[in-house]
Amino acid sequence: MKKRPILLLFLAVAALVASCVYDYDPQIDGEGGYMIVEGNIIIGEVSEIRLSYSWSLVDTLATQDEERMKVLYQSKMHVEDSQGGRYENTMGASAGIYFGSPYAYFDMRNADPALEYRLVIENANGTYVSSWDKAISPGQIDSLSYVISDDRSTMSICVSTHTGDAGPSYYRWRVEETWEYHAETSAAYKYIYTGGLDGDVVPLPDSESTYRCWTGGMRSEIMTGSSEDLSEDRLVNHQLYTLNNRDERISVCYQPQVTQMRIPEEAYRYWEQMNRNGQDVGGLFSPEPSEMRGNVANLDNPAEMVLGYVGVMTVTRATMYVENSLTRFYRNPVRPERALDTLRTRAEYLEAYTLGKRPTFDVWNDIGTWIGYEWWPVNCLDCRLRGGTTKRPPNWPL
Amino acid sequence: MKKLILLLSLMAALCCSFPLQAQQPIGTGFGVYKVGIDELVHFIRTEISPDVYCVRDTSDHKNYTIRVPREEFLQRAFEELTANGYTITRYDGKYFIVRGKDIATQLPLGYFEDRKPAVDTAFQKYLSDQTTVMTFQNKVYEIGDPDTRQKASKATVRGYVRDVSSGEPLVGVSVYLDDGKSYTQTDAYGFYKMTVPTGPGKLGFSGYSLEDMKLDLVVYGDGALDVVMKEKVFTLKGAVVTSESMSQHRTPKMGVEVVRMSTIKNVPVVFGEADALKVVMTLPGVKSVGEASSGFNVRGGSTDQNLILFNEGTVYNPNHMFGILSSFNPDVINDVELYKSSIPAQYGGRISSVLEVRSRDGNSKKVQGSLGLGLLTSRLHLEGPLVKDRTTFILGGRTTYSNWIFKLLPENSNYHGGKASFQDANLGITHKINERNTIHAYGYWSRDKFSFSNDTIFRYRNINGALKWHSIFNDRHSMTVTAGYDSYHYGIEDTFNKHAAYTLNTAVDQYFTKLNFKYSLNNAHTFTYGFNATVYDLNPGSLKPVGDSSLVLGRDLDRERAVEAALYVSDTWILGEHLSIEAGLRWSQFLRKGNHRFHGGPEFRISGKYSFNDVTSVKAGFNTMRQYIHMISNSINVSPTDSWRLASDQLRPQTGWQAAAGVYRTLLDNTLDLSLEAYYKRVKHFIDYKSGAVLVMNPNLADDLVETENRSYGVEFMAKKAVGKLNGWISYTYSRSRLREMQDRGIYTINNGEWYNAPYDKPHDVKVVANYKFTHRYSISANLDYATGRPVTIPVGRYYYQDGMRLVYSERNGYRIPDYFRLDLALIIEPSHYLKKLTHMSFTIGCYNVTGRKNPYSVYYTSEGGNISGHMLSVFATQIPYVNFNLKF
Repeated sequence: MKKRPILLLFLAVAALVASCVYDYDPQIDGEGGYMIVEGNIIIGEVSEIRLSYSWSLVDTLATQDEERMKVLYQSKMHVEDSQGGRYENTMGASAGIYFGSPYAYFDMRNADPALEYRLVIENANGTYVSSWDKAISPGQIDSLSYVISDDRSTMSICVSTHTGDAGPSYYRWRVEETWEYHAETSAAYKYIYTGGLDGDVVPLPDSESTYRCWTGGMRSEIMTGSSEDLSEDRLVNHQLYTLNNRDERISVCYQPQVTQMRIPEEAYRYWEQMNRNGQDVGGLFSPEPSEMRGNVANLDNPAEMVLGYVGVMTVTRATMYVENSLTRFYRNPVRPERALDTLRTRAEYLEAYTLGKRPTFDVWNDIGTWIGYEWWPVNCLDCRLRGGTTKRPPNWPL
Repeated sequence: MKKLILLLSLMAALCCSFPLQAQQPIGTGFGVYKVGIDELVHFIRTEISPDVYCVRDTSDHKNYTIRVPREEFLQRAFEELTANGYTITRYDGKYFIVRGKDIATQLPLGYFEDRKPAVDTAFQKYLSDQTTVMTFQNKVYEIGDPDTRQKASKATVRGYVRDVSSGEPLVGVSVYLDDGKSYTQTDAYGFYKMTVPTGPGKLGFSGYSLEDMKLDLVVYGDGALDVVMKEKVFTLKGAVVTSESMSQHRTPKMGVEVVRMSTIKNVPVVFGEADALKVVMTLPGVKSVGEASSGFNVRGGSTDQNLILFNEGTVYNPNHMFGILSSFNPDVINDVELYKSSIPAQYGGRISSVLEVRSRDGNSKKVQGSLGLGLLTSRLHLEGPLVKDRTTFILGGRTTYSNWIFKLLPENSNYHGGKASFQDANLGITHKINERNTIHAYGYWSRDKFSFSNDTIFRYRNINGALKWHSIFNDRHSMTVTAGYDSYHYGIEDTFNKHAAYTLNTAVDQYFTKLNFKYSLNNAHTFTYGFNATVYDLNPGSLKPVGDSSLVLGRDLDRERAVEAALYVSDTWILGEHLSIEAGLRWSQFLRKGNHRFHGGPEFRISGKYSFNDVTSVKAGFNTMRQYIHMISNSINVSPTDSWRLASDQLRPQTGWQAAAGVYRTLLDNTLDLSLEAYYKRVKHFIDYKSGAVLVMNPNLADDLVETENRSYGVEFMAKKAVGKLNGWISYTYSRSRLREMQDRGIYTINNGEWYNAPYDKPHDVKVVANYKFTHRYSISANLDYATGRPVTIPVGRYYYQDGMRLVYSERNGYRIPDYFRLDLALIIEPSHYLKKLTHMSFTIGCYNVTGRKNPYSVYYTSEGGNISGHMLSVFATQIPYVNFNLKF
C-alpha cells in the first residue's frame, strides 16, 4: 500500500490533460458554384424564394464570379399549380438588379391548399423545377416550454404538438427570437453639450432611457422532428435548441416565436442531414458527413447539383416569454470593479464627456451633503451600443 | 532441475553388446574391479541373471569395484548403483536399472499404448509402456525398438512439450530435424508429431523465451519422446534461435503473425494496460482509424471483416469503452495469432483476417495467481490444479474504478463528461481424461456500461461459452470437436425526454460446432479436414418505451435467423527439401430463414513456399473468402449505433480474393528476420451507405445502403529480431484501399461511380516496437508509430441557407487529416528472481505520446451561430504518464 502515493501522483499529472479540440485551418480552398434555392412555397402567405451560389471556403461575397452571378440575377421564377395556375414573382422583373440577392416573392394568400405546387426557375443554365408537392396541415402547437437541466447549465426550448392524423408526421421549425437585455447601469441624468467649452447635466426623461433594449433575429439551427417511433402522432416537450446559463438572451426576458411546418419524409431527411453536416461531425462516433440532393433539378442538365429543398406547406405559429425573474436561470457575469468618477464642476463634466463618460446619479457623502454626479463609461449606460434598440416590442410582458 | 529429469532409453541390446575387457577379478573373490556401468551389467547378466536390463547414462563415468560372495553380489551391486543415482525396478520378474528413480514411478502406465505385437520380450513390453522423457541434451535418445525386425526407412516421433516448472503444455514450439527438411510446431496442446528418417539424427526444439534444445537421437521405429523445456533466463552470451525466426522458412503460410503475451506486456500502451489488440495494431498491414479505437483494419479491409476468435468463440465487440481497451484480460492470455493473408481452410466467414486469441491452461502443479493495479483497471487471476496433473483451472477478472479518465477527454469526443464501467471474467478448465483425450471448457463474459450524460446509457455485453474435446486417435490422426455459444447484446437507454424515453436493443446470438481433423498421411502430406456449422439468431433492433409517460411505440424488427455450414479439406504437401505447398478448399453455404436461396460456394486457399536454403525463402499465395454477415455503420469507429445484419438477397454476402507474394531472409546467425510481402485484394458487396441513410430501426435497411467493391494493394516490409538484449521489430507499409459503388444510380451514385478512398486508407505506415534488456530485471521499451493521415470527408464550399451558414460536401473521403506520429516509452521492472520468495512484484512506468504531439483524430468544420470554423480533435493530445503494479503469488 505504500505505493499508493506514487499512483496518486501519476493520476494528478494525468489529470492536467486539458481539452483537446483545437481550432484548425485545414487550408483547403474548395470550390463554389452550386446553385442554392432557398425558401418554401407557403400556402396562405407571401412566400419568399432566394437564389444564390455556394462559395468556396475562402471566397467572400465580393469575390464571387460576376458572370455567374449575372445569370442567377437574370433568372425568371414562377410557381405553378397542378391545375395550370401560375403565380408570378411580385418583385416584378428582377433582371437588371446586380446587387443583393435575387429574391422572388409569390403571393400565395389565396392559393388552394388542396392542389400541388412547384417552383420553376428559368435562366441561361436551364430550367429548374422543384418536385410537385402538396401542403400538409401543420398540426397544432399545444405549447411551448422550457426545461432547465439538472445541473442548471442549459435551458432547452421545447415544443409540444399533435395532429389528429394517423402519423407518423415530420416537422420542421423555424424560430424568430426576441429578447430584452439591460445596460450595466441606468441613469437619472444626461449631459447636454451646448457648444464651445460648455454643457450641463440635466435630468434624463424616461423616454430617453438607454437602460432597456430589445433585439432579436432568426435562429440558425435547422430544427426537425418526427413522430416516427411514437405510438400516437404527438410530440411532448420536443427539444428545439438549448441556451446556456450565460447567454444574454435569457438575462431578462426571452421570446421565441416558433413557426411550425409539417413536411414530407423526404424533406425531413434532407434537412436533418443538412443539420448533421454542420453540427454532428468530427467526434469519435460521428457519422461521416455527406451531401444529399434536394428536390430541385435542372431539367436541361440533370447531373447538375442543386442544393435546397423547396417545400409546399402551410404553417402555424406560437410564442412564449421566458422571464428570468421566474426562472432564476441566468448567471450574471462577474463585472470588473470600476473606478468611477464623482464630478461636480462643468469643466470636469466636459473633460469626462470627451473621454466617453456619462453622468448617472447624485452622490451624497456620509453626512448627506451632495458632492456631485457619478460618471460611468458610456458603454455601461447605453444598451444600444450592443446592437439592440430601445423600442419596446408590442405585447412585451415587462 | 536434474531431479525432475527422467530418462529411459532402450538400451538393453547395447548394454549386452559391449565386449568384455576390464573384468579382472582381483584376489580370489567373486566380483569386478574398476569397471564401468556397461561392464558391470554385462557381468551380472553373464554370471548371475540374464534378466537384468540397464539404460546406459552416458554421463556416468564412475567405476565400480565389487568383491563379495556370489550370492550377495546382486544385492551389493544394486546398492552401489542406487547410491550412484540409479533406480532398480523389478518388473515381471526382471530387473531394470534406470537413472532417475522418481519420475519413472510417476509416469503412468499406458502412457501410450502402442505395443508392437512382434515384440514380446518382457523388456520391450516394459519399454513400450514408457515414454521417453528427456532433459539432458548431452546424451543419445533412442526411439523405437532397436530389435524390431522390420526396419523402415521412416518413423514417427511424437510427444508433448511441457514447461518444466508448471507442467503447462507449450504451444508453438518449433520442432525440427537438423537436416533442415522436417519441421513441425507443437499444437495448442503442446503435442507434436513428425516423421523422421531412421538412424541417428539431431532433433531441435525452440520456442520463444525458452531455452533451445538439441537432442541426439537414434531412431529405430515409431516412438514417443516427451520434452520439458525451461524458460530462458536472459544471459549475455549467445543468440538463440526462436520458433518465430525459423518458422518463416518452414511453413508455406504467408502473413501469419504470432504475438506472445510476454511481448504484449512489454509494449507500452496508453494507461499502461497490457493490451493484446493494441499490440496487434503495431504489426505491419494492420491499421486503426485513430486512437481510442480497437476496431482494426487488416490489409485494406474494414473492421467487420476480421474474425476474432477467443478460445474458438466469436467475439463481436472486443472493446471496452468503445475502444480505449480491448476486452481480453492480459493475465489469462497465452498468445494471439493473426492470419492476414493465408487463411487456413478451417477458418471462414470473414474476408480480411482471422485473429485467434488463446488463453492459457492453468498451472498443473500448484495454485498461483496475480494481482494488478493500473490507472484504469484492477485485475486478479488465479490458476492451479483441481486434480493434480489431471484437471486445471484458470480464472481471471477485471474491473474499472475510474470515471476520471473521461473528464480528460475532449469535449467534442463524445466521451467528455461520460461515465463508464466495465467488468470481464474468464474461466478455463482443462481436464486430461488420459494421454490421448483432453477436454477444455471455456467461459467468457464482459460487460460495459457507458453514459455520455445522465439520461443516455449505453450497455453491451459479450458471453462466450465453449466445450472442446481434443482426441488423438493414433500417431497420425487426431480430432478436435468444439461446440459453443456466442452472444453479443447491445442497448441504448435514452430518458432525456420522459415523453419520448426509450430503450433500443440489438443482439447477435449464435451456436456453433466445429469438427476438425488432422491426418498425417506420410512425411509429405498432412491433411486437415472438417466441418463447421453456425446457427445465427440476430435481433436487428427492438424499441421499447421507458416509463408510463413515454409515447414511444414499442416495436421489433424481424429477427434474422440463418445457418452457415462449411466443409473443408486442406493438404500441406512437402515436395522435397525446397518446395512445399498448402492447398485448401472450403465449401460454405448460407441459408437465411425466409430466403429460399442458398448463398455460398467454394473458397480456395493456396500458398506455396520455395526455400533456396535455410535462411532464404520465397512464397506466394492466393485466397478467396466469403462473408455472410455485415456490420452496419456510418461512422468510421466502432460506435454505439453499429449493428450486425445477416446477408440476404438484397444485402448479398461479401466475397473477395487476395493474391500475395513475399521474400524472406534470415540474417545474423538466425536472429534477424527480414520479410517483404506484397498483396493485391478485391472485395465485392462491401456495404457503404447512402447520404442521409437511416441505420437504426429501419425495416427497409437495404434501401439505404449501397454495395461497393473494394480494391486494395500494398507492400509490407518488416525486420524482426525476436531475441537478444535488443529485440522487437521495425516495419514499413505502403498500401492503398479504395472503394467504388457497384451499381450505377445515376446522379445519386457515390462519387459519380469513381473510386474513392476507404476511410481507413493510410498509405504510408512506419512502426517500431523495441525492447532493450539491461539486466534480468530492468528493461525499457519503445513504441513508435507514424502513419499518413486518414481520409475524411470535408466541405468544399459553404452557402447561406435559412439564417445560417451551411457546408457543402462533395467527394467522399477526399481530404486527409495531418499525419500521425507517436512515441511511447516504458521502463519495466521485473520481479526479483529469488525463487523462494512468496510473492513477486513488477512495475511498469511509462509515458504514452512522449513528444506530446497533438495527433489529429479528425478534422472538421462546424457551422454554429451562423459561422463556419475549422477544428481538429485530438484524443490524447499530450503526454500520458502511467504506472502499473503487478503482484504475482
